[in-house]
Amino acid sequence: MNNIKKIIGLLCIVLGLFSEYYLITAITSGSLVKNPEENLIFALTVIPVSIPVILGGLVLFGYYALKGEYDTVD
Amino acid sequence: MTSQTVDNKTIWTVIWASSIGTLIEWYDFYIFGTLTAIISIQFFPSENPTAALLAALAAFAAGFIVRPFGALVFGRLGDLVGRKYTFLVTLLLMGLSTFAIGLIPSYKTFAGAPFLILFLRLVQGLALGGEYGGAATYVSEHVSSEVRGYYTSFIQTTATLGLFLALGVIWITKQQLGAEAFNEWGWRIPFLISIFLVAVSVFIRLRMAESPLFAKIKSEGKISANPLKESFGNKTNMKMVLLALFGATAGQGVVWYTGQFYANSFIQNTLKVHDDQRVSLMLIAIALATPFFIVFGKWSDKVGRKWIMMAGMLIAVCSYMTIYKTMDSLANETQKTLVADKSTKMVVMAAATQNPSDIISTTTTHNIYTDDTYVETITTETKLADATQTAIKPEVKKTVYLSKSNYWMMLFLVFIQIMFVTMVYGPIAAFLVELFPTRIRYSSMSLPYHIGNGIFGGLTPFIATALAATGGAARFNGLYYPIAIAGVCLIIGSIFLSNKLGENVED
Repeated sequence: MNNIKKIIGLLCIVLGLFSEYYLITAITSGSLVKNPEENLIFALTVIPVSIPVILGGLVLFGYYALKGEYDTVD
Repeated sequence: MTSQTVDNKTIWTVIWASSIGTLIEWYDFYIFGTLTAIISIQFFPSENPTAALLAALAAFAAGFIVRPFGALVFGRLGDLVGRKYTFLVTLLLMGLSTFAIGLIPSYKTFAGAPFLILFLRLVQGLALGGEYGGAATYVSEHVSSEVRGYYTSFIQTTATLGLFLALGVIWITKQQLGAEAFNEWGWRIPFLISIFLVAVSVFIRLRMAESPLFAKIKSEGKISANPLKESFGNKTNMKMVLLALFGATAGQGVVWYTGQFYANSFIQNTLKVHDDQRVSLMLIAIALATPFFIVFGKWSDKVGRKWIMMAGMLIAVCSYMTIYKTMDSLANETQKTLVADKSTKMVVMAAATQNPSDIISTTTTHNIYTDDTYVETITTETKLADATQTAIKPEVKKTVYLSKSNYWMMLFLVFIQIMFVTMVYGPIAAFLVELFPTRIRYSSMSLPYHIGNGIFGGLTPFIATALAATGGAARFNGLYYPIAIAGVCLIIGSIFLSNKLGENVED
């Protein structure tokens, strides 16, 4: 189980980086929301919040899991 | 006094005092979200109704985004000063800001109105951020581990009942005043009556004593000097905060908002079901499903919190697409057979008010389908006298009246989604409380709860609407967001969370 936790940790780091990259490129390129005004609202709302939560949170969670910090939690 | 010695009467008084205030806070918060379309017309100047709706939705999201900040501010206060006084302050802030929204003149008479509305919405978000953690902590610190899931589940019913109350009060007000008066000024009534509800709740809460566990650590001088640093600067505790967020509350948040808000928005904006049918089916589904918060909360005392929550997420992830495609088939006339001899079409031509040489043509069609679905479409076209002018896009207003059998099927599909909500949400207060020690419990449990619900969950309608805005087959694209978040949360929660029973919270 501890090895699975480490693998999930690694996947969380990758997922955190990928989803933040995808979110920012999708918003800035306008592919997620076509209308420029809507896109601006979307960008102003989502990007500043998602960075600490997804990048900071999910990647940190993955890092802890990869280091075995959750091995004792059962 | 420890949690074990609190008598039965005191416990029910504690639950009543906590639940009624939290219910009112949710009511206050949801009337804004439910009245988004009207608020956007009243306060956000725009010729484009979609832009106006999104502007208000952004304000809605802003309300959710500040919730985690409220969790930090009031969580800290609750761990320093006490639970009782902190959630009294949040209740007052919420009540006063809601009441003030009902008093602000529209932007036509007061240009600063949109800014004030946004500010008050932020205050609402802050207050809500501090309320839930206080109520859940307060109740759980009065009861023993064998019944913690059961008693805290009453707090869990308040979010859904708050939505029920908001929909009900708005519907009754609209029925009494008529649509025109309601859209003009009647929408203010649900905001204004909040002040009376809050006054009653403050009166009840003032008579309550402090949480026995908090009072105990306070008397022993064991209160945290810096709850935020201890909660989020300490690796041991931060690990649990992250686990609570990515293993439980993020998935719970999206399931909650999909089952109630997105379902409501999908029936209203995508399926165009008549308002009376939509509101009544939402109210009935909520009323039927609400007791299951208590059922699952109580059950979690016997089998543990984890697997009930994970099962709710699993079923939701696997069934959302099917549920929404079935909902679509119940109301989407392109998938139905028209009864031609029962359908009517009427065209009325009139001179335009602004430029009488232009002609306004209003075409009303009434179509009946073989399954008894009835669709009314009103198309308004302006034929310009001056052919050199840019043509005005026709306005189309469609209203779908579901047949009796389709209405009950739609209600059942909403009910199922709220059942998923009861599974993931019923045990979560007890689960969060058991993760953290008394001295930093309010701060530590509030933040992951409000990030999960406020950010991951609260943005569900916004992101889903944006994803589905392209129409056609993409109308179901919005579901990919809750499915992905709940799926990730399900995997993390299943592998990392503990399912231990009888966790001690007296530490």
